[in-house]
Amino acid sequence: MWGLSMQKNLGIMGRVISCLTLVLLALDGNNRRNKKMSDEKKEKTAEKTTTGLSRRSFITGTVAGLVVGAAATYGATTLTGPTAPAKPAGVEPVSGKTINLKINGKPLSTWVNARWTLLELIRDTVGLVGTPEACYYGECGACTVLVSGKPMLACEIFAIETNGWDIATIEGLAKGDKLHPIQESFIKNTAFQCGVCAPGFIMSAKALLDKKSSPTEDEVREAVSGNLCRCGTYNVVTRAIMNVGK
Amino acid sequence: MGTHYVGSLDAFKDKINAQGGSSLRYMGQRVPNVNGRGIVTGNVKYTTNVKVPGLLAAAFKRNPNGRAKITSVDTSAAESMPGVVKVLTGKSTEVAGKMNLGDEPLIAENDVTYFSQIVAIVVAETIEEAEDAVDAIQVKYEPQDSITDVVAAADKNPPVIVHTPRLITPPFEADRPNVINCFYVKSGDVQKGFADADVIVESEFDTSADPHGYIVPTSAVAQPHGDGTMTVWGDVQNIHPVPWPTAAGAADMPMDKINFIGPEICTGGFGGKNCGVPGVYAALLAKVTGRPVRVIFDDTRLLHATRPWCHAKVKAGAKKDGSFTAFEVTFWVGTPYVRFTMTVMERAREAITCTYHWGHRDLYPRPNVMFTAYDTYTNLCSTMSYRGFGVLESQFPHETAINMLADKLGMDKVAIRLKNITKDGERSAQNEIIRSVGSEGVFNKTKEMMDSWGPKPSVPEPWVVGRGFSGANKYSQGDMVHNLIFLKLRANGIVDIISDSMDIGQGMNTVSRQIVAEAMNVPIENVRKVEVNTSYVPWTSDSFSSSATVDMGGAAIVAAKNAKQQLFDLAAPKLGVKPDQLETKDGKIMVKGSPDKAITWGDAMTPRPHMVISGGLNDPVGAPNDYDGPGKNDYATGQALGPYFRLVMHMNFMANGCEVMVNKETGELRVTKFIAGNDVLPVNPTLCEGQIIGGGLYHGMANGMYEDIYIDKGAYLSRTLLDWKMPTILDYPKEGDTHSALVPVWGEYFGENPRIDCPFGGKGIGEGVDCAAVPCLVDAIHDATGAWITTSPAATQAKILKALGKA
Repeated sequence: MWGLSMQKNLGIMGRVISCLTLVLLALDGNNRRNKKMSDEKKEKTAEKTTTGLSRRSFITGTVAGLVVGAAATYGATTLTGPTAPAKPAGVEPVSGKTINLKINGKPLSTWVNARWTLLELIRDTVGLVGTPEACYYGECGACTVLVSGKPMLACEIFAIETNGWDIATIEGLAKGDKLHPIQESFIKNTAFQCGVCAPGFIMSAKALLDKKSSPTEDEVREAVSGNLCRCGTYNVVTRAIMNVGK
Repeated sequence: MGTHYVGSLDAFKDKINAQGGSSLRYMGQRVPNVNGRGIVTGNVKYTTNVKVPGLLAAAFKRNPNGRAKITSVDTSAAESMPGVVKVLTGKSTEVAGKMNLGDEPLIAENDVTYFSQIVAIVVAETIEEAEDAVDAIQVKYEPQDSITDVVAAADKNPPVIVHTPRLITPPFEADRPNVINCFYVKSGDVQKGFADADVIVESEFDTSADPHGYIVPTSAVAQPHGDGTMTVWGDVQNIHPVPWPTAAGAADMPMDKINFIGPEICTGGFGGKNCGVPGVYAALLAKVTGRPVRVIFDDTRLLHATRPWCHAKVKAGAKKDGSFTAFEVTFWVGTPYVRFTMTVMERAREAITCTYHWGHRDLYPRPNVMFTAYDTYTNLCSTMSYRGFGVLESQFPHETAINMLADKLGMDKVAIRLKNITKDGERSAQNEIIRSVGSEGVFNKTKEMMDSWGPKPSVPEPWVVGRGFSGANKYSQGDMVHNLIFLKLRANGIVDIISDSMDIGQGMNTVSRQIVAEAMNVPIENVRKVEVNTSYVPWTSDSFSSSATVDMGGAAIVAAKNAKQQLFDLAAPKLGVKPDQLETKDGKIMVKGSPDKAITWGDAMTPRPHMVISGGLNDPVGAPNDYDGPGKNDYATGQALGPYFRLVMHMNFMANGCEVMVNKETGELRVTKFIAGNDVLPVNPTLCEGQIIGGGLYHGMANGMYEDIYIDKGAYLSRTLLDWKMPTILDYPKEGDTHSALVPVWGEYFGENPRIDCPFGGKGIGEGVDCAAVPCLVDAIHDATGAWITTSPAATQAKILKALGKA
């Protein structure tokens, strides 16, 4: 289990061990924070494990001269992202592909580097930074987004996998100036301190409330048990979710 | 819903108004967090969101061992890899000989002292390329014996000497080759106290090296401007005291050529982001490459620094009636480089000596206390402040010793404390006057709320139920020398706060607006706060030590007083009265008693569009700042060489109570009820409750129950959130089972004369509750099982089973 630390520097093995650990912990039931991991997510994690894909090793090419922050236009009816960089002389081309997906209901067509996670696509390419860059290893839940309504961790999904997906982020909840009732309730109950985990809690809460409008306290706690908050706001988060719309 | 008691502030209204308040218009009010909308929509300006064109990425090669010699570092493959801009090692001319935070090399050259120490850095066009190149760096080590036992490390003949040559030679105990510094308190006659005692308890305690556990790794971006200046954005708790000068030092630049910008909210610091270490590397790498560089310590989020490991040996004595007779404690703390451990043990002194009289006042002229602390080089992980320098480490053994005495004497845990409590105006074992003592009120209120729980519930075998109690105190270490704020008054009645007071989740962006709105008597919507930077923002307060509200508030009420005086001086001739006949409300200046005779701020200040007013505890002539200054405390005895006063400190007192269930077969522990009280005039009760329930009880439970660290020959095995487990929402008591009590007591600095009020009577909050939680949990486990656990974290299943003799 300890092999997964220094993950980035361990290269592919670190990532593989990390994924293995996630699966093992999810299966043995000791790690409650992975309980909410959907079956889909488990399958995806296992797939990554068996195929050994890693952001680092999946592609050994280079990203020559590509500015990661090149932003797609967000807010237009159709989103356009960066196109594949031209092949510089003497350098192997970047591997990646163009994908089509929906983010917050808006279609996006963009080229993605095969090593990018969905989190990097959302934050660096599309420029939606409300989904936090936090633990980055599927441990904390802060980057929870909804994929067809199901909560998933953007840092644990390769962008290249998301062709055809329908993704909702925290930016998609409010309608203009009108906040979503969950957001209103989080403000009313001060269900945050530094606030960085709040988008993840809110997305997990939305997935729950979309299925069941009046959940029990136990159901609320279970639904957000994959979201960590080091400021310790759990009691007010529960209160906020129990009191949405009240 | 849990019970959340808030005492009335009405009795303090006149004192608050005498400091320029507006009859509790905003003081003590549940004002919604001003960042709420930004937080729930994902629009907060966190440092991780900073992007500038052409940004390079940095990746770090780190030591996977404990102590080792570096025999070779081969960067040749890395240097020729695609996208790589620069590779640095300890031998690079740009870093050779440079130290950070005292005595730690920026990059290790010949030796590594601790696990995860930086041995090389790659800067590349993308993070993927930087990581690939780091993987290609070949480092050969010759591992050596590590010393992680803090007691053995402090020996006169330790098995390992951590640094040769020694980096710092202390003035005392120079024959202990790893010891960096020592602290002592010698008060009264400890031997007589123990001879008089009817009961004595002796025990040894360990507080392990807990990481801060912030979810978002600490990060920075540095952008050079090509003209000898640089901007650095850092996710830090403070900008002025450490992040700014250390960034300048690493980049070899004058401080005033660097503008260090803080985030709108720091993404959880808990002490771990006091130093802004990534900013140091970002500034260095931006200077070396001439391009903007982003540094994020995502590979060492947990182990970039921890609370220092602490061992304590305790002896405590009491008479049959519960009167304390003497207390003796020796501490050992370990760190690979100096960093902050000196302060840890320095601050542990107050925690031990201020809440109780160890040597009851009816029996002894002075408390009988012997305190010795060794701050020692070890090969443990790098260290940093963590929610109460030395307070958890010292309150855990201290309060547990009291519970052990109460248990032996068959006394009530609250009664034995109240019998020995230090009273307002009494002198501590360091011979300092303790003021603003709210412990009696907090203990009694917490006990009253615990009593309302009724009898213990019956639970099926093999579960057992226990209840625990603990007191605590927590100093707040402020700063009067660097205490300056600017208020920009606009003609339309808006006030901009220009201050470096950082919001780190405690709500400083809201609290600072409340204090200024109360002091200027304006709607809070008309108060705003500017970006935190070192370019044009003055050094007001540091968001550590639960001190920011008091420091910032102190400056703000002085500035508001100055602002009102200037407005009244300008308005008086225009209204045909004297300045002292005027008052202000909602951006208007009116004659007292004649509200119709009024002009606006704009009328008063015309033709100026705005005015900038300064104020602070050091303004205009400079405040005395006797904080632990030379000659103020006798080094060998810790005694105050009075009369002097510590302008920089106030004391907070708190109590915790809990109910737990323990499974005697499996060692499982559940906290079923949790309560904490704090003596404070809350600026904002909602935010204070957040500090108590979250940063206090949650952190205390996390530190006390879950976060075991495993080390193998100096290499840390617990490295991520998967093998170092912080409690989830399912581990935490339910919403209706967490309770808080805010028991108001007027805040004052402690020390000699003159008496100095805290702004609007406010005090620090939160950290002390964390520190009281561990002894409280340990007491409850004892109540349930009869076993005392003397390690923190205390209540892992393995430790409980061991304590029950089943493992």
